[in-house]
Amino acid sequence: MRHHDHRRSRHGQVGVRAVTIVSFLAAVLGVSVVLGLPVAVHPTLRHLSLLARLSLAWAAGSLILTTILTALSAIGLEWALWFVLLACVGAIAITSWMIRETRSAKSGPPHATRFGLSLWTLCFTLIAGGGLYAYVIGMATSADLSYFWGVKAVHFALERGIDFELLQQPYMIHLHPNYPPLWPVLLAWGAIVAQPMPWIAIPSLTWVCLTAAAAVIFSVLETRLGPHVAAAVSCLWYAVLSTTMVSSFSGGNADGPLVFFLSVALVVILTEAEDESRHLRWLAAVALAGAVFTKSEGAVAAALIVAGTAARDLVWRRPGVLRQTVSLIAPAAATAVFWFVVRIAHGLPLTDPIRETVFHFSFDHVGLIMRVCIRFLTTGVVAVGWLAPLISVVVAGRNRMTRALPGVVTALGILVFAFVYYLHAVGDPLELVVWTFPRLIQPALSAWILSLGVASFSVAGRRNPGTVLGRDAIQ
Amino acid sequence: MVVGKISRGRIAITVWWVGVVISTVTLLSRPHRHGEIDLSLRSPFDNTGSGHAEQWLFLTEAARHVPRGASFTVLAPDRDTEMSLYMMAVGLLPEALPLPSSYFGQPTGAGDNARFVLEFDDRRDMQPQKTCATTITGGRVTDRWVSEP
Repeated sequence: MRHHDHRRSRHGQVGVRAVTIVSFLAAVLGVSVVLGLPVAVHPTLRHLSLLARLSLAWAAGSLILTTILTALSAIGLEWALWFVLLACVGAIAITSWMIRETRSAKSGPPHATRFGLSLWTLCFTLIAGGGLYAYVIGMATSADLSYFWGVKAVHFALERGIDFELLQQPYMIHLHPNYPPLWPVLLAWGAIVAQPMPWIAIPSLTWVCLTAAAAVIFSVLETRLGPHVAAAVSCLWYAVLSTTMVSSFSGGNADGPLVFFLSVALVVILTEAEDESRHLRWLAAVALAGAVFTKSEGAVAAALIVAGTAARDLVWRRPGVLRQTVSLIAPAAATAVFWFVVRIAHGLPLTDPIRETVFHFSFDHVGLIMRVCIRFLTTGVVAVGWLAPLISVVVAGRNRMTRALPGVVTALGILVFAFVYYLHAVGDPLELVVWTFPRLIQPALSAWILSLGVASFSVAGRRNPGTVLGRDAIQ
Repeated sequence: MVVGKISRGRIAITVWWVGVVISTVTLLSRPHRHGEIDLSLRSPFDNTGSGHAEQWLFLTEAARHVPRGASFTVLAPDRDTEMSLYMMAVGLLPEALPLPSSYFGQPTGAGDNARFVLEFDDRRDMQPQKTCATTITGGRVTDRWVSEP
């Protein structure tokens, strides 16, 4: 009898746990998708696959949700469910209006051939399965989730708002009070709905970010480079990033959304044709704003992407480079200013109190830093991520390196940034390098793979770059 | 010339697929290389091998003994573990008041004022006199306000 009761109570616990996890994911993913629906039906994105458009809707919705909730906290209002529901109703209204207005617009080019899709589907499924398994069994969870990302979320959920008082306390500086709010606010929103926050489900959100990004990358590349090349480039990107995320224990921290935002911005910019209007720039600009709102290094990467894009456009002698560059960076700059003002208004530090003082360099450990970083860059799958695109571009795309500038500048710039950052370390920097470098290089790897992939298989100066060579390449 | 271009393209695309195969095999073989897999899903860190899972289980059990609003501190055999436990405890006991005994390796003295002491890894030498202690997975919770009967 007692045995049966015990089993029933155990089943009950499992049921409650499942309900908590499902409601958490529905809040974090579902509500964001609804808020981002206008993006999914935007006429300039109609040529992308449904999965890609839903992924973009989720990312845009996350940014909208975080902006709304952060603004409410900034003016001292509690997060209310009705406010988010109201925003959802607004998003649905805008979406239905957009669908009505653009019904007559032409649809995009046809989707992938059966070969491209089936090969991509096979690889995609294998990588997705391997990645998800690692996150679900707790093999790739980031310690930072339990140290500050998730901790902030739990407290924000309890307070129904950003807990500025908590972030100001002297024994709470390990929470990195200056860090941008997107990830903890998003998790907190899920925790409010789920009650309590299902910690165990959070690492899987990193998998969601990578999978969503891979879907967008494939779909954008498919219409520009053809299905075969799109399958190869997006699968390498997905496999390398999935493996490095798992091996660097990034599950549940903000690296997943950061890589998503930066990769989407880059793939859109990289596939622009030299002789056409920049009609998808708005998407890249929004994605860069998302990166800035997610992690501090998102601002560095966004600046590098903008610089690389401006350099490429200047080499291509495109008109209106200054105006286009300003419009590309404007949403990201607005986001940075917004978070800056919130921190000033609520007495939060502008720099990280537990990091080293800026511009206080130490050159005593240059050799050690170089050795450790080079070892990381040349080991295992990370080495594959650098070498395969490099060999490919040397073989097939040496004369198209201008196209790769936005990504190459970003990749190399992030490595230089990491090196300069480590020069600030007081004492032995080994622990700092080992702790942070495997995660810092992920946006760099992403930028490298995407940029050299596009450069390898595109045809300079043509509309729809590379479609010809992209299809020819494997004939 | 055309043949040369096509073969260059073929070589390039082959390089990408070789990269895909290597990376995918590495990803899929990772659990196998890890050794025995714990499928209990008790903590988010079950198979990281980092020691966080043990700390997590200790704190989640300790949380049941610390009432809402009560102050607590954590003690561990070394300062790194103590800092790790403190950071985790802020999230796992969100409605209690954390007072660190040490912070980033430096003793604070704040922990002396805490009502509950969460001792990880059986730190019995720290047992305050005449207090009520409960042994839990991975350590012990002591209520300094309740005397031993």
